[in-house]
Amino acid sequence: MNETLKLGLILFLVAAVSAGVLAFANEVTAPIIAEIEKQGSFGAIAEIFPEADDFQPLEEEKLNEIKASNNFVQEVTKALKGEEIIGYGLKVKSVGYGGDIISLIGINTEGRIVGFNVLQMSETPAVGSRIVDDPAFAESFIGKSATEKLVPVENPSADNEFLALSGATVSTTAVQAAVNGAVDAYVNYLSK
Amino acid sequence: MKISDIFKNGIIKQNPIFVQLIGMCSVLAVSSSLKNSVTMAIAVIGVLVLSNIVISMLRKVTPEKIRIPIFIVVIATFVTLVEMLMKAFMQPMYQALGIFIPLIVVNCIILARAEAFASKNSVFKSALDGVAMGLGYGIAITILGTIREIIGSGSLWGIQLFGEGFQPAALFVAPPGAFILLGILIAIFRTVVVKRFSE
Repeated sequence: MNETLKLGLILFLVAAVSAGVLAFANEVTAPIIAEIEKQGSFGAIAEIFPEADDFQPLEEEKLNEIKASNNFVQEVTKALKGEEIIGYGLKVKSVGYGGDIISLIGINTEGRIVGFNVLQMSETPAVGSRIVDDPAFAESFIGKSATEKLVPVENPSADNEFLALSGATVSTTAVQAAVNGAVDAYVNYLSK
Repeated sequence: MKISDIFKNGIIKQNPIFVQLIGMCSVLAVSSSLKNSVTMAIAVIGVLVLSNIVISMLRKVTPEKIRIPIFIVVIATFVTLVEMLMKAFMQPMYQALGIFIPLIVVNCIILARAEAFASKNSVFKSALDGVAMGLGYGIAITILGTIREIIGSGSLWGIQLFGEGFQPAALFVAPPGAFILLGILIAIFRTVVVKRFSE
């Protein structure tokens, strides 16, 4: 009994010192980490709408209405300039080859896609990961119409075409589904 | 044990990756690019040296029966510290390495050195052992990262090396490529380097 107590006490002391050190480190780093994470969530949208001066999440009621009929849209953020809404940032999720792909799609109030940005994915390196690594892919969405369904083609030129990545059909299709989910939300809810 | 022996052991004779084959999970997983490899190596060296120092300092007051939980608490403390610091000051790198930073806790190299070396040797020697074993790990993951990035992505440290015509062999940045390459490297290291030093 005596020995058990002693062992327990020693382990307790070691753990207590460890907890103290970590509590101190957490005190120092937690505000910095929180700041970075906050920038991360609005940072991507701010890049798409550089002229916006404020960002607000869409009203919960409206978001739930969209979510009820749309499997892709996760979050919607309004980009505001003064009092006026100039566009929406839609966070959409779809399933790729290596799990969920979360991307951010910016649509302005004129019904044009103004930004496409993959926030998170785990696609095969050098194959599906080209949805992030190949700048031409993201660029092929810019300026396209957000009023009709988009289709992937080898040489995108029309208003409803984006770049198909050969060899990465699953990833391309997943992004297509996500973008069309955002377009759908825009056409049926946000533009009204 | 002489200081030169500690380094010879850590980097060559008992190289954790090429000879002992321990702690390979992170080596296979994050060595797809040189930058990831070097960052991971620095994180492992940092944790290994610090945990070796503290465990060696505590070796006289650590009861035999609860040494493993004490080792784990010490190691987990340093890993959590490294994780917090990386999250705060090296955010992009933290995102690239992801789960493999917290998983340093269960990297067997660190527990193995605590048990086999730091709990039996002086603080100074334990620190050197941490550096030597960490370098052994670092050299292995750096070689792997360099070759995989050149062949698999056609770049080094994120800089493209070849012109447009180069078609990278994507197999090498994928997990099977890591296994194949690691096997080849182990064979070369054992026949060429280890043999020369054991004579």
